[in-house]
Amino acid sequence: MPEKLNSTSFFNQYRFWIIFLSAALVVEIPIISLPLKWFESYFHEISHGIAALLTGGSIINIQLFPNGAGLCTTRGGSRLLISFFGYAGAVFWGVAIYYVAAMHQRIAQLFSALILILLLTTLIFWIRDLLSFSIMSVLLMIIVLKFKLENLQYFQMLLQLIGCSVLLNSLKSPWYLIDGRSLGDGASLAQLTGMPEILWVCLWFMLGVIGVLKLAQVKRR
Amino acid sequence: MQINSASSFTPNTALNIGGDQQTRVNEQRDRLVVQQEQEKARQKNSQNTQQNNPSERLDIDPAAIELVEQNQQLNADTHARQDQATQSQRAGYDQPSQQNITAVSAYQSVGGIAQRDSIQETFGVDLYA
Repeated sequence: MPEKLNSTSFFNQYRFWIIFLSAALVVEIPIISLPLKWFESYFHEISHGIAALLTGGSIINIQLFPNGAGLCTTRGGSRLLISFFGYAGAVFWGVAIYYVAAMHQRIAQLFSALILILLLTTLIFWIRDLLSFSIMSVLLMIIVLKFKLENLQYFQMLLQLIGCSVLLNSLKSPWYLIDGRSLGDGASLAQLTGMPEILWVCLWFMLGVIGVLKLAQVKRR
Repeated sequence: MQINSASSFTPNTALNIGGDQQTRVNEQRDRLVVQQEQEKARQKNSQNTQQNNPSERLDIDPAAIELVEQNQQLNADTHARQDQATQSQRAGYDQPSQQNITAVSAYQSVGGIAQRDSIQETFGVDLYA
């Protein structure tokens, strides 16, 4: 009995790092990692879209691709904020998903319902092609199936795994921009502000690291 | 003295010979000559008729031919145009609208990241990857 208590307290103490490392392992498994990549890609693109809406623009459409790439087409709004909030938004979503899931099991359920509504809204208003529709359907299915879990601990843990994978991808993805082609959000920001692309990549990475360190301090309730 | 010659005798000679039989031969010969002359005259007449009758000759006026050809050409062109219009009307039901063609071409060209700038300028939208 004391051994069980010890193992439980060990898991609770290092819960975040265990889930974070599990996410790091899962995203390396070829097929299983795909939905997690799609989640990260979706939260990245929807962050561009939300930034556009908040700055007076509109979303034309959102496209998702099987390899984890995505594209958000907007009209109007602040180009600076829209470009910045792709990677920054993915960090925010990763942290928020993990943090809310760690708060309480019922709050985790409520937050999942909000994600479900966001996915449905995106599917109805901004998805215009069959491929993106299929990918979005898979993401919706995962969220819906999560509600079928009777044990809310697993529900909570699965949501935290998704949050960690989104955060992990948002730590790695900005570095793909350093390819010497001057394309993507970093290049747009460099063009708009005159600051080099590498600075923006470092800034996004730092935001991710801060998010990871903050989550490591979160205690499960 | 009378000399009879079967190979060469003349009517005068026959007349001189005299008799009914001689007279009948002469009549038959005269009738044959007349018939031959009539036949020749009929043939000649027929030839003249063929040469001189304008109703039976095919006289074609070049101007008329040109006019007919022009008319035919005009008719052919009109039919071709009508056929083309009908075909395009029939095939038009599955022709995508101009808006769709523009959207599809824009979508396909999005795959090439290098072309995004031109799309942004053309459509007035911003693309974020």
